Amino acid sequence: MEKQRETQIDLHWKELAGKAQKGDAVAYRTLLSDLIPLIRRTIIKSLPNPQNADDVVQDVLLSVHKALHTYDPKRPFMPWVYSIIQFRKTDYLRQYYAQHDNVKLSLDDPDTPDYLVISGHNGTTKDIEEAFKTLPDQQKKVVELMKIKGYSAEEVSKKTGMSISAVKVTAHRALQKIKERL
Amino acid sequence: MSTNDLDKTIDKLCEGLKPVKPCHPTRNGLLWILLVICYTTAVAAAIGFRENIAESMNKPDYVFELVLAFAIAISASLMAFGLSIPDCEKYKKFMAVPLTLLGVQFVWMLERLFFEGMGDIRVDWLSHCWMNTVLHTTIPALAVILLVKRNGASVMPCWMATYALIAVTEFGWIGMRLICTKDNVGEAYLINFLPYAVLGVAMGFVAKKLFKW
Repeated sequence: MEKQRETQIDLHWKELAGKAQKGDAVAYRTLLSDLIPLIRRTIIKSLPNPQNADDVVQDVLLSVHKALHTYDPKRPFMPWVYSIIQFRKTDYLRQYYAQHDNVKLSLDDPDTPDYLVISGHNGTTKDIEEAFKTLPDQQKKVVELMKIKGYSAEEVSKKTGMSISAVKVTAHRALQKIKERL
Repeated sequence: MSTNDLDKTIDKLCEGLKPVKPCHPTRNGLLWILLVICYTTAVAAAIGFRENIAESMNKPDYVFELVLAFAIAISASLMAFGLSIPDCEKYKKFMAVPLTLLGVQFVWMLERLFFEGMGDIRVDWLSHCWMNTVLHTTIPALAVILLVKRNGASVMPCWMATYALIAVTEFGWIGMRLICTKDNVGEAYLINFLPYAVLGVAMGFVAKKLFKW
């Protein structure tokens, strides 16, 4: 079903891109506007600072404009646009990490802020609550302290008597379990 | 940057929209190959074909080397143009072809080096061979850069530059084999390939900037 929907979107965008190549500004505007959520969704998880996502979105839009003539209307649209998105995202990340003082954050690190880890909607709040309830008591306690009450791994370690690495491992496993159940 | 800014960007892009012709990398690649074959033949004819060309064409080793270089040149050209567009997935599966053929050429050179040795190298090789090499390769190199920059938007600029370099090198080398009578490994492979190795290193440094878009 999802695949069929994707194919329909691809066909729609393919048509719009074909019209844009012929100079149809209305089709082009629709295409670019439609692309914004897709670009944002694709890049947001990889960016160390999601507040700059729209800068990358703008870069991608400009690149789509510059490369419009390289799109072959006989081919699917998605692979073409994804290549451009990945290229610009890599460009941005390369520049970002080349700057001094930029430290890479691992998304697996339990201390990483939630807004970086949970950027898409994998489930509703109710689903998350249900998945949370199924966790073993210790994992539930660690997740509650770290992710709901906002304590750091070190503080949770003091409160629970567990080592810091054990807290991190427990939190990571608990999040994995929740993710799997959503 | 806000949603309003993105809307403004879209407005500007739509205002400046002009009809564009979809580019065909394979067609551009074939056009370039045709032009380079004509150019190489013309340059070889202008400088003068090697005196023993008819005799050499009867030597299987000489013909094999030319055919191998030609196969590398054709496949590398098509790869370079294929990688000049963002949606280059269908070309990626052929990436190994020119590289494998290049490997065969390298093994062939080593085999000849092992059995025949380097052979004699002329004292004035710097002025003589390098001038001819420059003559053979400058125009094709400029043409490929121009075509790819004008018609392409590569997401793999370094790989694309590598294949373009291999293509120019092999066509130039074929040109040299048509005019230079020296077939020993030292001259045919070392001296005639050396300029390209230098060019390749330089190209590696500038590829990303050169093909930036």
